[in-house]
Amino acid sequence: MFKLLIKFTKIYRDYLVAAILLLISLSVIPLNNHSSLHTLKTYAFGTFAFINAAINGFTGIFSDDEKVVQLRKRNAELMLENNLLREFALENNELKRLLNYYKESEYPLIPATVISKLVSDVQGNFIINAGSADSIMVGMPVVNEFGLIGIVTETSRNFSIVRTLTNTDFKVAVKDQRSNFEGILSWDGKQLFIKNVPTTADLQVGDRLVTSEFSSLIPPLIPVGIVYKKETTLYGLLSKVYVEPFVDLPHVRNLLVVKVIKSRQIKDMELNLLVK
Amino acid sequence: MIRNLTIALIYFLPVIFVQLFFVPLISFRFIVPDLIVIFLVFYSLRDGRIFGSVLGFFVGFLFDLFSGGIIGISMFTKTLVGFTAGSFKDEHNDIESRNILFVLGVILLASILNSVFFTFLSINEIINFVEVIFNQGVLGGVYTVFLSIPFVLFKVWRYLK
Repeated sequence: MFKLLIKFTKIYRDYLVAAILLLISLSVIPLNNHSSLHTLKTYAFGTFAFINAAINGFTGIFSDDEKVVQLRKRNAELMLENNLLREFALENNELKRLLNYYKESEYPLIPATVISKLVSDVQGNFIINAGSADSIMVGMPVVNEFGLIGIVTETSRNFSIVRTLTNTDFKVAVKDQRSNFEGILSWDGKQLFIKNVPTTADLQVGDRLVTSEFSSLIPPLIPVGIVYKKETTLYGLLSKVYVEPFVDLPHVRNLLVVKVIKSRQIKDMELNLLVK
Repeated sequence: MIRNLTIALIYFLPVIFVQLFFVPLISFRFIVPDLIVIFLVFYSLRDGRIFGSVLGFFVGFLFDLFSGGIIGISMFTKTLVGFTAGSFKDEHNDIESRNILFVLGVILLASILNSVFFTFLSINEIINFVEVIFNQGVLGGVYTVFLSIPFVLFKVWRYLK
């Protein structure tokens, strides 16, 4: 029996080695949230990103100067402010009076530059040159002057990983700014969509979508995209709504991290959409 | 084997670096060539299935670590690439004597496999799967082959330890 086993191992050694390695690889995937693996990953991407940042700093004679960065930051601030004003415009005068208590949110912004993009149809991740030393924390939303880009999922001292809208693991609660219809926006590898929308729902092509108050991670009223197609599925009962993001993600270079994180208590209580 | 593997991994560090930080600059929409697959195919065609699988496993691990992606996905796909490409090793015909088109064909196959399994393991739910496979697998594979032409013409594997 033992000899037979040795003979079998010798004959199929290549296949056995490959099968074992493939099995190990598969078994590692669910362990990604383990703290030790998390620390190792943070350290590794931080080190690698540091080398790239150093090279960029040496060769980056065409990079944006400080003034451009400041202007982009101001642009993004104006975008957020403009969106708040748009929201206000939709309210009537009486509601405005009632909303006197409402404090206009002022989001502090941290400018950053994309130093690496993990380009893929399904795993859109950016590495940016700002980290915990810049007060960036996991869960902070990332925007540019056009709207939402994604959310910070890992931070090292000087670098962070941003999970973008074009990542199948990223889901965000959004609402129609006109009708206040709420939905969960996902990425299917090609398009952003909201599925299982009742056909009776007031969601029309051309409507603007912003982040919803129901989001456990992202502050409300950050522009996300515009509805460009509505398809009826499942015997005409449900629709699938396709959304064009405001941000041109493949060409994003400069971005801003919104220095806002919802309270830990809320985060723990509500559905945490970062967890796969 | 351990010594050869360590040397190969050292060779792969700059390849991973270029793949992460420079290759995305030549991506078209989301279609991006895979430099790691090209070099992994060279090693596997020269040294066989076992070496290819083990090298792919560790290179995938390093790529997952440095890219901040999900650890395990590239480990799986690169192991598969190493094993598949290594299966085309012929004891009587080393990579040097192989037809250039044959090497490019193996790169195309390996790249398609890499993309397809990467997509499979990355997604939670997907609707237009065929389209994603076509974009990532076939178009990505063709782009990788295109990128590999100068490496194949200059027989870069001669310089790999």
